[in-house]
Amino acid sequence: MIHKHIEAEREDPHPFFSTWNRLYASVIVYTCVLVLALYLMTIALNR
Amino acid sequence: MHTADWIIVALYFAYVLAEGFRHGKKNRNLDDYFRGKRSLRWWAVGLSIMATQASAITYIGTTGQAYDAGMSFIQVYLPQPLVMVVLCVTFVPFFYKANIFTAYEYLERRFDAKTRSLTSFIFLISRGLAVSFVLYAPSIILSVIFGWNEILTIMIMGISTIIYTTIGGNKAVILIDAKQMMLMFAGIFIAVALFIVQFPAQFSIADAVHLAGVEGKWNSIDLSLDLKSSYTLLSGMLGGFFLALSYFGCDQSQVQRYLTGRSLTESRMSLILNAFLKVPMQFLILAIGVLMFVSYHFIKPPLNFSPANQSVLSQKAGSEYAELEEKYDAAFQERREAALSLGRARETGNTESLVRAEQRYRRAEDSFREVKRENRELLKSVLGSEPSSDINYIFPSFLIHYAPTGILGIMLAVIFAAAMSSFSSEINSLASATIIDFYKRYFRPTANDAHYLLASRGATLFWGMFATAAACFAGRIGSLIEAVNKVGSYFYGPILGVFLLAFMVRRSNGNGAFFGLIAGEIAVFAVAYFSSISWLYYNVVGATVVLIAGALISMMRTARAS
Repeated sequence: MIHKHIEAEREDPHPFFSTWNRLYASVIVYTCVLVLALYLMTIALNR
Repeated sequence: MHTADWIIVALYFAYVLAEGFRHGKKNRNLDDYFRGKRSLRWWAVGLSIMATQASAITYIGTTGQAYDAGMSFIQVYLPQPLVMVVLCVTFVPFFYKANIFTAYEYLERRFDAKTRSLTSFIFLISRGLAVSFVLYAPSIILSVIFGWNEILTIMIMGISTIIYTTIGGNKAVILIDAKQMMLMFAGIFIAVALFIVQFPAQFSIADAVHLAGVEGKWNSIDLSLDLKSSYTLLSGMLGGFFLALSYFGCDQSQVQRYLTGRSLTESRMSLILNAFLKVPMQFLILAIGVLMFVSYHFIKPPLNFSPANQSVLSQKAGSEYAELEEKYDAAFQERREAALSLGRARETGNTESLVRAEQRYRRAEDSFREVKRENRELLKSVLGSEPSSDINYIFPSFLIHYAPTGILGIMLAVIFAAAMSSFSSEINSLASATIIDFYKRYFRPTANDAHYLLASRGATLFWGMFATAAACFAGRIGSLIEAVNKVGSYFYGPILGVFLLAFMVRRSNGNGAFFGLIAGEIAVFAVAYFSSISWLYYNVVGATVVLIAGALISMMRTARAS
């Protein structure tokens, strides 16, 4: 019963990104960018 | 401390108490008191989630850690945005739709009463014993640095928080947390500015970044696969992922925040706010430590940041310590000159002179560290045992000596806000688990609203007083408190495993969850005892064992029944 509720809720529009999946994808991309930026910072600034 | 600083601190305390009284009048029943009538906006809930996680030790200890070892701690926080997505997709809709007060209440609906009671009991024991540390740790440091009475510091923080939490309930806690979090953000930027103004005129921010790089402080990512190391990308992304999933998904002190959202969308949005803000915030806090490291090239740091250690050495090793102080002065002056010449070499753009300046700086830094090492050896011989690290004293020590009037008051309010926002959320969640999972479930299932409201306030008062009293006596049982905090990390993984079993394995049942949880705990204790892998991996082991054992036990039971 609860599982069905979740399937329905996942389709609700997101206020800024229009779909939740788009928002989740942006968070995943954001995480990858953070890791990459920190890695580049480590190799560029550490001597 | 100047009168203006005391006035700022007093205004902060007056404000949080007034807010608690203001919201307290609106509480009529359990829904008002523990879930704020599910009426809160995403930004308030999101800031409260951040404030609950960020304790005073985040400001005091993390900055000291970055001063000493650089930025590597950031790796533990890197999986948090991904964790927020997992929570939004799974945990939050399950909890929100189930219309529950505690995370463990959901387990009774999904499994049975014994699984709910066991997980809630583990939460009460581990969190109940650890919560005193939230007050004790900053109080001991602030009292030593500022010369305050330790018990009085604990009592002022503890009693003020108990008053506004007991009267105002969870809505007051969240709205006050949100404002405290904004104050903490302001504190971060003030601290960054405070350190930058310590640089000499001829030394730029780019020079500071370069200097910290020469010392390897920008070590944000470590690609090592060593399982014994706690701060690598692997341990952060794997161990940190399970730790954060368990903390945000199964710890009532966090679940209770997002259960108050006005709608499921608002609850999810509160976590997405964390997904975007948490890592940058932690980065800035660690960067404060690195900037502090650079600033202390131009203003002389004490040989011992802990005044207690300094006083012991002066009294028991007077002449030797005086000699060491002289060597330290010389080493500091040489390091200061080397740092300035590094800045000048950067300006010339000449690679050869830059390399020479870097070499000179490294030699100076080595000499400086050597004196620090000799100091530690002297301290060890005087104390007769290994001295504890004094990294927690670095940031408060800087504030008392170099923060201007007014700014010191604001920074102290930031530290108090960080401690009190965590403490309020934790005692509120302990009260909700006590009342909802035990008192209402087993002792008084059908009392009226007024009775439950009174009982909830009583439970909040009890946990607050218990934690404050434990913090007052923590000096005598310090090692026990530390042990409890370490042991607390043994429970996160297995509890996460129970929830994952509930969400992911449709055929899992109560016996599978209950005995799977016990199997997971045995596995975590065995790994901790028999192996030397980093504690971050305990969460992975615990959750995985519960999931597999729970699924197998459930299947065996189903097979027997059929």
